[in-house]
Amino acid sequence: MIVWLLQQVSLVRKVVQASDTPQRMAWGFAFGVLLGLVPKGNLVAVVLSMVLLATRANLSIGMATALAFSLLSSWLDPLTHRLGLAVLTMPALQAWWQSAYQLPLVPWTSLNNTVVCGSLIVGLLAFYPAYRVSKPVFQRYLDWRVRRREQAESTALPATVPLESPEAVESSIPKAA
Amino acid sequence: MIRWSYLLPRLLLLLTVWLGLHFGAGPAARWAFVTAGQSAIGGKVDIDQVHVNLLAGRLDIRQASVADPRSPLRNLVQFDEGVFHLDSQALLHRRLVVEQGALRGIRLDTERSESGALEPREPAEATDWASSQIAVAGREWLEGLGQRLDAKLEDELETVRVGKELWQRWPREYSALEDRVHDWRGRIERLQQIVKQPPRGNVLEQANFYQQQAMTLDQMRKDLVQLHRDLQRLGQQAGQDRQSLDAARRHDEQRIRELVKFDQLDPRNLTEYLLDEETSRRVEDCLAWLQRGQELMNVAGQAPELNQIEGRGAWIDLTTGPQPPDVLIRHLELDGVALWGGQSVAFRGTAEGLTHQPARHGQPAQLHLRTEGAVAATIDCSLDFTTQLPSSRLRIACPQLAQPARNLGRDGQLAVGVAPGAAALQAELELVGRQVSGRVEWHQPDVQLTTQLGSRLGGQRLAQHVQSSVGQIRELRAVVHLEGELPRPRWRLQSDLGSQLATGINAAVRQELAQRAGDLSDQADRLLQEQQARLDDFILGKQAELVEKLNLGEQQLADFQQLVTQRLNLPKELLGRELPLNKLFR
Repeated sequence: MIVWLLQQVSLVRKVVQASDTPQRMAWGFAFGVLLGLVPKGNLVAVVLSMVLLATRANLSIGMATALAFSLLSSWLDPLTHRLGLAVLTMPALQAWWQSAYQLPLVPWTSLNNTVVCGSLIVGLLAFYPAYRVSKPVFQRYLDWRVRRREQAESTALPATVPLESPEAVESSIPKAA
Repeated sequence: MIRWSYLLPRLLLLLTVWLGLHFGAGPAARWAFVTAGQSAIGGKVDIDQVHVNLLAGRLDIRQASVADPRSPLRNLVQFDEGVFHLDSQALLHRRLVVEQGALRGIRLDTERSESGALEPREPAEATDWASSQIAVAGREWLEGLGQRLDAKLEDELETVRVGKELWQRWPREYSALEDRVHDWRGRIERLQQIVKQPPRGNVLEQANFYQQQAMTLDQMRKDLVQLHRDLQRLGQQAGQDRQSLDAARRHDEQRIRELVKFDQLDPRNLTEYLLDEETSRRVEDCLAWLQRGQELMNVAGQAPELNQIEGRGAWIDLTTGPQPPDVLIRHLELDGVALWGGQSVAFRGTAEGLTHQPARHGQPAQLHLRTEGAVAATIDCSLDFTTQLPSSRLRIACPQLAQPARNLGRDGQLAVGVAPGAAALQAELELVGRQVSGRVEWHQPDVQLTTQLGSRLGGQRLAQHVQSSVGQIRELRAVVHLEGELPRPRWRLQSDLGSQLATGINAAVRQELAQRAGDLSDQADRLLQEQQARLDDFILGKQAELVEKLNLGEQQLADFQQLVTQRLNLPKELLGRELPLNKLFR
C-alpha cells in the first residue's frame, strides 16, 4: 500500500514538472487568480475548480496561484465588499438578480454575498490581464529552461561509443571501388 | 495516444472530490449540526455518527445528545437514531427542508458523565407566586390555633393567682398578730410577777411604784383593745379577700369565654395551605416547559450560525415575495421515554413546523405527544413565533394519573393523608409575551382522606373530630386559575377540599375549645371553692385561737388590776388615773 502511494506521488511530481506551453501555464495562472480571490465554500468556487480541471490549463500552476491568492484575498475584502454591494444593489440589476436567485443551485453560489460577488467580478476582470501578463513570463521561463538544459547537455561528458555489431562495423568500412 | 500528463491529475482530483463527498459529507454535516446546535441551544451537542446520502436525500444521525445549558451535568435530550428525508428541490435552493423525519429512542433529562457547559448563562427566572401568601395565612391560623390550644391556661387562671397570694399573705398577718398577742401576754405576766413581789422602799416610793404600774396597766388595756380591733379588722379583710377571689373568678370566666371565641378558618386559606405545594409544583413544571420552549426558539432565532450573520461581507436579500425558512422540519415522528412523577413513561408523538425562522414559515411549531403505560396522557403544545409578540400554548390531558399515597399540608401541624389512587389532570396554559394565563385542573375521585394533627393542635383527639367530616369527602378537585406577568403571575386556587375540611375543623375546634373552656371553668370553680374553704378554715381557726388568747389576756389584765388596787387600796375606778400623790405631802 505504502509503495503504491509512493508510486502515485512520484507520478504526480513527474506530471507537475513536465514541460508545458506558455499558454497553458498562463491560463493556469489566470484561473488560479480567479479561484484564489473568490471565497471558498460556495458553488462559484466549486464551478471554477471544475473549469480549471476541465480545461487544459496547467493545473499545478493554477492550484499554487489559487492558494497564494486565497491568502491575499482577505486584504481585498473592503474593496470587493464595496464593489459587490454596488452591483447587488444596482436598481437596474435588481430584477435580474432576483430572478436568478430563484433558479435552482444559484443560492448555493452565495452571490448575494457582497464579498463573493465583488471578488468574482475582480477575479473575472483580472482573468485576461493575468493571462496576458503571465504568458511572456512563462515564455521566458521556458526559454530559460531550454537554454539551461542545452548548457547542461553541452557541458556533459561525451557518451561512450556503443559496441556495434560486426555487420555494422563492416558496413561502415568504405568498400574499394 | 492517452495524454497521461493531462488526464492523470484531473482524474486524481475528481477521485479526491468524490471521496471527499462520499466520506467527508457525513463528518462535515456532523460538524455543521454540532456547531449550529450548540449555537442554538447554548449547550454542548455530541453526535456519534452522521451519514449523508445526497442522491437519496437522506440523512441519518446516530447517538446524539444535547446538554442542558442550565444544568451542564444533565442532557436536555438525547436520542439513539434520527432519520431525515430531505426535500431535494429545497436543497437545490439552499434550504434544508425535512419532509419526513423520525427521532427514535428519545430520552429527556438524563445524566451526563462530563459537563456540557459552553458558556455560563443567566439562571432561569424563577416563578414567584405572590398569592402563596394565602397559604401562609392558613399556616398562621393553624399556628395561632396551636398556641391557643397549647397554652397552659390552668396556670394563668386569676383565681389561682389570687388564691396563692392570699394563702401567702394570711399566715403572715395572723403570725404578726399572734406575735403581738404573745408579746402583750408576756408583758402582763412580767408585771404580775413584779407586783406580786413584797413592796420595797417607803410608802411614798411604793405609792409611786404602784401608780406607775397602774399607768402601765392602762396602756396594756389600750393595747388589748387595739389587738381586738386588729383581729376584727382581719376578719373584715377576710371578707374583702373573698370578694377578690370572686372577682378573680369572674375575670377567669371572661378569659374562658374569650378562649371559645376564635376566628373561623377561611376555607380559601385552608385550601391553599393544603394544596399550595402540590398545585404550584405542577403549574411551575408546565410554565417552566413553556418558558424553556420560548427561550429555545428565541436563542435559535438569534444564533449566528443559523442566520448568515457571520462571515465576510454582507448578505443581500434577493428574494421576492415571502421567503421560506432556511431550515425547516415539516414532520418529525418522535418516540422515547421520559420521567413523569418519578415514573418512566414511554411516549410517541409528532412535531411539525420546527424552524429557527418561524416568521418566514408563518405557522406555529406544533408538538403532539401521547404517553402510554402507567401515565396515559396527551400533550399538545403550540409555539407561535410568527409575530413580534410570541405566544405559546400548552394543553395537557391526563385522565388516569397514578397518584401515590401522600400528605397534603404539613406534618406536625395539619396534614391530610391521601390514599393511593388515580387522578385526572387537565392543564391549559397560554404564554403571550410575558403574560401568562390559563388553568390547571386536578381531580381525584374515590378518594380516602385521613387527618393528622400535631400534638399542639389537639393531636389525635381533635383529629378524630375532624376525621368525621373529612371522611365524608369522596373526591378532591382543585382548579388553579393563573393570570399575570412573569415572574410573578397571580393565581387563584379553587377547591371544595378547603371548604369541606374547614367546616369540619371549625366544628371540631369549636367543640374542643368549648370542652376546654368547660374544663377550665370547672377547674376554676373547684379551685375557688378549695381556696375559699382553706382560707375560711384558716381564718376561722386563727380568729378563734386569737380570741381565746385575748380573752385570757383580759382575764390576766383583770387579775393584774385587782392586784394593783389591793396594793394601793384604791377604788377600781381610779386605776389608770394619775393620782395627786405628790400634793398629799406638800
